[in-house]
Amino acid sequence: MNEQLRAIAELDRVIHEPGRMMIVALLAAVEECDFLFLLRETGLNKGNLSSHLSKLEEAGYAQIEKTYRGKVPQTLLRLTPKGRAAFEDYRKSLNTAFADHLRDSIADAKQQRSPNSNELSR
Amino acid sequence: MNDNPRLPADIPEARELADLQSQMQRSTRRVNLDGGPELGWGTAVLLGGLSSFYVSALPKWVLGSPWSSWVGWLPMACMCFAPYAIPRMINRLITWPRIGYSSNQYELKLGLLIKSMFFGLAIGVAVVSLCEIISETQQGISPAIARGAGKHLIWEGLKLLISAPLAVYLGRNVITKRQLVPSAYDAPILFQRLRQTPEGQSHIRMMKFGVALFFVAVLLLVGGIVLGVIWLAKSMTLHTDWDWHQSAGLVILVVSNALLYLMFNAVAIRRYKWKWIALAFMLIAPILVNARIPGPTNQPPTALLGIRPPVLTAIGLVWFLSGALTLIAFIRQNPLPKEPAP
Repeated sequence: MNEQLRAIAELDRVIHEPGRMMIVALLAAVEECDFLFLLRETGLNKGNLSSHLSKLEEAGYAQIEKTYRGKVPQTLLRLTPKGRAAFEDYRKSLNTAFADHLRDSIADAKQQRSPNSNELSR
Repeated sequence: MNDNPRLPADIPEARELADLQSQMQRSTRRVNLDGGPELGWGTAVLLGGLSSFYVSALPKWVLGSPWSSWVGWLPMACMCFAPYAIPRMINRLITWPRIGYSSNQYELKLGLLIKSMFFGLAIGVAVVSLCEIISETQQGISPAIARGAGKHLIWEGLKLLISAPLAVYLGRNVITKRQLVPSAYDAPILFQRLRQTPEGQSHIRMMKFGVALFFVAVLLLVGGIVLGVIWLAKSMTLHTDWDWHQSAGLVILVVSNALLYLMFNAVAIRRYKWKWIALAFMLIAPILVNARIPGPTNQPPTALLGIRPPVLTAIGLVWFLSGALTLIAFIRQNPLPKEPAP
């Protein structure tokens, strides 16, 4: 259990906030995107989205580039290498915590009834 | 494991990982949402089918002159770029202003497309040159030179010398491990210190075998049905040069196109149920067209596997119409934002 708590405590607080987690997960899956894409995919309003993006930019996780598509202004957003690395660490921490839970649950299940096709080797 | 109430829904990390995964996969749900890939592919197939009619309609002097014969290949050249250029154009003009722009790592890039084309061309030239050299020198080099094929041999040898290294060079750039869609789950972490029992392994082997068997059975079944329909349509056939070689080509074309259509629309078909009807058309229309419309009489450059140009045109038309309907539905469901995003 200590391992699980440590894994959760180690989660990056900048990313581990529902709104920012949505944004970073979306940015991690694409090379770059614009503000409208994030607005539609996250369901956040413009103010919230801007505020979260500012926090990510302050942390050095996101890069915001103001540009034009023809004559229309466009805000391009992408994760910085530091942001990608932070997200990767966050993802791994979550996976580690889940794996620990999973092993505990399987061990409990084994104790309760005869072993299934998966067994735990410790 | 599924009957254990603790797994996995009540584990907070499991929920968070599931949310993360769902969020990371959101961009993939846009695949063919606007019908762009369908329109691109449909245009390519249509051009492939119509190019034979186009060549038939061209004056003979155009194809006869070495300076203007390239005009005959114009639709084929456009056909190569349509699957790339049309979705991109639709994205720029229609999709991105409505639902936002995103660029994915696994998208086909123009550079890679051009490299792939030259790779295919280099392989084709190398194989043809090699076959030519082998056929000319079957009885030795001296008899071939005596026959006056020396120049031809040197020319083919030169082509082989250039195209083979080019194919190897381009192949190293083109044939790379495909980048997977990013995932929240990390199997090596999740399953470390867990191992399978022999029963579990044999269970998974059986599952894999069953799935493979299912796909083979589905392919054989659909192929058999299509072949049966072709056999039934034989009595309706207006042209006389019907053979089983051509029927086999038709079955391969129809079944592969239907599967491709399902793959293109794996996401969109859940939203647009009428696509099932389009799929039925995709299966039936080519067979009926093959039976009723003979096509141009010249030797078409697109007569692959003995497929008639009208059949390709019919398939292309179904793709194109399906793509156009999807695009119209997309435009209606996604109006332009009233005020531009900052």
